[in-house]
Amino acid sequence: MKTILTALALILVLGGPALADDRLEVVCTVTDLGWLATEVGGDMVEVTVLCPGPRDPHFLPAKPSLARKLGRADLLCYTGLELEVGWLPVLMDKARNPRVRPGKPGDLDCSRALETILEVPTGTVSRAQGDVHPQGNPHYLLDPRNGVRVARLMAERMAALRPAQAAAFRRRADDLAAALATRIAAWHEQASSVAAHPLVIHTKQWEYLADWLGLDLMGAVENRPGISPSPRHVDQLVDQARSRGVHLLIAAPWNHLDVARKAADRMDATLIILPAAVQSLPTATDYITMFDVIVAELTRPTGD
Amino acid sequence: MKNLCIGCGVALLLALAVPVLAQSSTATGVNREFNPAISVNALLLGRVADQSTERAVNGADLQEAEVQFTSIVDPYWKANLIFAIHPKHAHDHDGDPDDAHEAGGYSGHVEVVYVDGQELPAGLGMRLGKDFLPFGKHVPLHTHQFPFVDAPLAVRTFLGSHGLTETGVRLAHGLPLPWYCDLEGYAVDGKAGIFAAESRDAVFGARLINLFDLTDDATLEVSGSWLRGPMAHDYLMLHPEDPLTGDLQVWGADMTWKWVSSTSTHGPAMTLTGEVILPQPDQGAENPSGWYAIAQYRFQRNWWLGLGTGAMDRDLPHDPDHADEEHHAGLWHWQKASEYKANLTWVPSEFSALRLEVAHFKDGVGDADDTLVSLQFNFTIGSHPAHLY
Repeated sequence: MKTILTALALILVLGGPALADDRLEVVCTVTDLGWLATEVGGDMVEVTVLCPGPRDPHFLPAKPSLARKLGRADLLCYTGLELEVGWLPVLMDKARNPRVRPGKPGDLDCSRALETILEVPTGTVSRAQGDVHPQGNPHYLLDPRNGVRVARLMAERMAALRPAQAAAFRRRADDLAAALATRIAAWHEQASSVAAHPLVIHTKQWEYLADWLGLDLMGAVENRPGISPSPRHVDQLVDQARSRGVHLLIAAPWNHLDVARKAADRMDATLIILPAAVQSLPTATDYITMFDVIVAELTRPTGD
Repeated sequence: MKNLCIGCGVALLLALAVPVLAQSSTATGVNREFNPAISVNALLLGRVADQSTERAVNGADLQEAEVQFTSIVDPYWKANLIFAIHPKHAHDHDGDPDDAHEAGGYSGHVEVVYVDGQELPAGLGMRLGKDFLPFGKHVPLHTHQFPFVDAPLAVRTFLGSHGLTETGVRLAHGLPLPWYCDLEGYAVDGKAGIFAAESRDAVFGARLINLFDLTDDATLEVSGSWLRGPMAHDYLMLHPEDPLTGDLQVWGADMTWKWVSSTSTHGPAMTLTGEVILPQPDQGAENPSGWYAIAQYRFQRNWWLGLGTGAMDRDLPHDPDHADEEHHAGLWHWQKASEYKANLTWVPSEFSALRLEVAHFKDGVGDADDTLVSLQFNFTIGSHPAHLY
């Protein structure tokens, strides 16, 4: 028994949180949040991202090694609105980290920064509608104005966790907001020509982008999220798209591109694959270049 | 007239309900905000056997339904309760002929009820309550998570056909190594079929998990399990005149390679799993062993292919009623049973699946070989917690 107790004590001592430097350990679920946290925190934080850019954040395999990273976190930043519901709760249980449990200072649901949540279902919510998000559309980081709001929220939380560096966090968030404001205006003006034309999307996740740029999203190939579209729905969408002169079909890199490509061909439209997250395409290296790529692709003359 | 009365009754209830809903929960005490998340998972199974004519094997029925409740208790505990319902067969009554007439209905039991500590220091995990024991890769799975309709032959034979759920305490902690390494130990009661805990007896066990990230898309898990407890008097379905006594110790090792393509949602994915189970009973069968190997491959968005095989070896009496005499006379025979399985599963969404399976069993003696063809439908409704990796 003495041997067992000694071994247990040794495990607890060795397995406890390593003596970290003074930097705040921030774990972000997705790359967009990771970039924002890095910008706000600078060298005062150590940022780890759980879901790599090229992977669909709805379906990240909940590898135990990710729980190990989460176990070291002082601050967890997640998208919320149930985007990560398929894997984050599993990692939270495995991580055994009371600092980031819901309600604790280290728990940051970034959707709380939003002024408006789009597509909050009204009436009965049913899975007959597919894999809907009952609290609203979680893809709000595709509107850069929301990126600014999230950055400010992060700064406040980091300030609360590291009061000595509060001013630095807030200053960095202000600097980021100023830099983004200039770009946001430029992107909006650059994309103004696209607003006149209806677009088709592969999966519902571009609504915040459309809301910001004034895009006319005519319909989705995958009309029920997470469910393969029926041939009848695709036929109807193709007919509608052709009658309205749709030129572009938008998809994310992780969508079923063969299905999207066939639909685009039938519509005589061009399939464009836009970065739906930072690093989801090699060209979208950060949050700013992601919108550079999105706007450039949307405004590129078709046929190029 | 009857419909009119029902209609009036419903209208009256609605009229009464409106003011109740408008009232403050402070006064009514009726507040649904804290209700647990509720989900139901059901497995429907139709099956026909080539040889067996037992009703328990042939026919169509509910295989199992689980009703799950999950909630945060308070800042310190998170709770989970699963109530399982399954068909009642004659073997559920331990062969008691007086109960046999009840076969054909359904019975239910609390399969899982536990709390997980939420505020423990130093990365320590603690689970109090009843749950599947963390032995190997298959034992912790709920029926709707099985890669095939039935558990592997070696698991059913050596660790019980009804799942290994026990009540007690489990402690877990990560080890400070460059890869993911988690050690879990437990002390539980011994009520499952393979145990015969009496008085202050308990079952002890441990599991060590090592998981290596080979690439962003692939992992390799190499793990080991051990448990020890008072052996059931009829372990391995032996019924000697003198009931078996002593302890049962079981060792296990398992390896899983998993690959999930990151290029596309619901893109290609593959899992290869192998497990070895080595029971060491103090008395009865000598040096039994078993293993299984399973391959699962998602070759299209909604389609999975599964292949599995496994075997077990054990020493058995020709006549269990005279096991002791046979054992002393050296008359026990060595049984090598094996199985081969293949299935095709259509998964139209995360919440339903339809599976067609063919399984062939060779019992090693030759008089009970059989082939089973199964069609299984699995659905989930409600707020079901995400599954482990």
